[in-house]
Amino acid sequence: MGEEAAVKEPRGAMSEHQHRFAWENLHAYALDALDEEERRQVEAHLRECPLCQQELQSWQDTVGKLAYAVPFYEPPVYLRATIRNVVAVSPAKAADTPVLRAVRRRPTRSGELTTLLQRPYMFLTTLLILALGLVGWNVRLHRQMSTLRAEMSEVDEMRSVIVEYMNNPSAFEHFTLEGPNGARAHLLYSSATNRLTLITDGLPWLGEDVVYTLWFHDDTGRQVLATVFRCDRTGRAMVVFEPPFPLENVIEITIAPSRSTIPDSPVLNGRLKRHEGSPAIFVSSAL
Amino acid sequence: MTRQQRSDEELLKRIALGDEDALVTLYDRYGRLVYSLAYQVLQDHQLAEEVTQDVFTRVWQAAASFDPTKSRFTTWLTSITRNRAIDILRRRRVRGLTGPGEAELNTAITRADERLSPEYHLEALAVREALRQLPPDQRQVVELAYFNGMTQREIAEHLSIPLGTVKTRMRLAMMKLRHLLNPSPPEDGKRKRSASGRAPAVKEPSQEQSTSEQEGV
Repeated sequence: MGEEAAVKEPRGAMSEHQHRFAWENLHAYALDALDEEERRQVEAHLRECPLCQQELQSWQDTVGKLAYAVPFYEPPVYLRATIRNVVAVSPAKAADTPVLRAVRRRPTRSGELTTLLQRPYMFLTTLLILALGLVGWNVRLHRQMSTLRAEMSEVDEMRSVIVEYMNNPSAFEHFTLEGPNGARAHLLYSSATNRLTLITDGLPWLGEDVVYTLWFHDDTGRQVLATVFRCDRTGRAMVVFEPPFPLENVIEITIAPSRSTIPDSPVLNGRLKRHEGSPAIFVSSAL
Repeated sequence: MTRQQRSDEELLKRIALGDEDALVTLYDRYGRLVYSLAYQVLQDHQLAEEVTQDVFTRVWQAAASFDPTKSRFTTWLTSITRNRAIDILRRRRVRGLTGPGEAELNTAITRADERLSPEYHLEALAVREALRQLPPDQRQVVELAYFNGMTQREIAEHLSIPLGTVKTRMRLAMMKLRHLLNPSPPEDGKRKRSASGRAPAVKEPSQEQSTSEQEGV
């Protein structure tokens, strides 16, 4: 059955008009930018038009991708545990809004406050407000601590790589790549953990807002973004990550500023050479 | 279909069976995306936390009903997130609470992005590249709709420009974004044919460009 047959044919001028109206407004519908009446018309037509349903899906995919353009914010670390706890209790209960949330967000009007203060429950109300204030302060503190803890865990992982490497260098494969003007990259691979550690030195300083990307190339011409990192003003960086494909397939690496979906303007590019000398660790000042 | 998408689907199947670890894995993968989007809309960390919690609770409850043949998981996830955040934003607006200022879609990779996964980073690069190609006035109407939850009519009032101009700008912007971001959208020719020989339902961007100024009524 062809696509034409699958589409329900509009009947009469009104259907033709409805189809055209819906079709021309599906992108705005996907953005939720239509007025109530327009939205109602589009939804009514969508119920009976597979072609518009398919078209809408394409617009929704586009709108969905816009989320990737928002600046990145790190959620507090405790949120992960909170979500696990919420779903562990009971799916049905988890959908309910926690009582504390409602209390916390309830707007306070001066008139209501005056009435409350005049009641005999004034003391208890004051206590409750103080308690909520303490909870709010505690939450803020907890959030700051969580962020610090997340950063510390990354530093801990780097530190453990360095210690393991110094204690037992033979447990790692060590590759190097050198570029112009003293730019160097070291890659340490631990097959026990399947983790790679990238250590750079002498990469050009490109400003606070530019991050670097590390790309792997295999013998089929495929290039895959392996990790993203930021270096300090001396071009030093250290990052631990999981390789996107087996290291034996990597024939070449590229380090380039993150400016596009391909590694434009590489600052380091070439085949990996197995490092045979003594350990040489360039520790990022981030440590 | 990429390895990442397959993994998402596998995780959803496990979530549907009540596997909490699968949900946490999904959170590790997309928690930042959800939280960042919610924060960008609401400009409030506490509300962004609540939205993030609600969204993953919803994923927990609705994983079994998710149909990967109808939609990408990330499309579904970001749609839930944005809808939830915009709902809160609109309620606050109705209640007279101060809303956030005009948020902007980010067109540059910043140092804060260094902690993104490579997959996330590549998606971000592609979207930001696409956005950079939009004229500022077209990007603005998309931003106002996407982050501020404004309808086309509200955008016209907000910017004091004709409704037709807003509609034209939004359509041009979205068509260009779709062209740049969706590798294989339905072909226009196919759409025209399947509309049973009727006149093309939608004009090509190049055609619309030339008529865009006339639509500003």
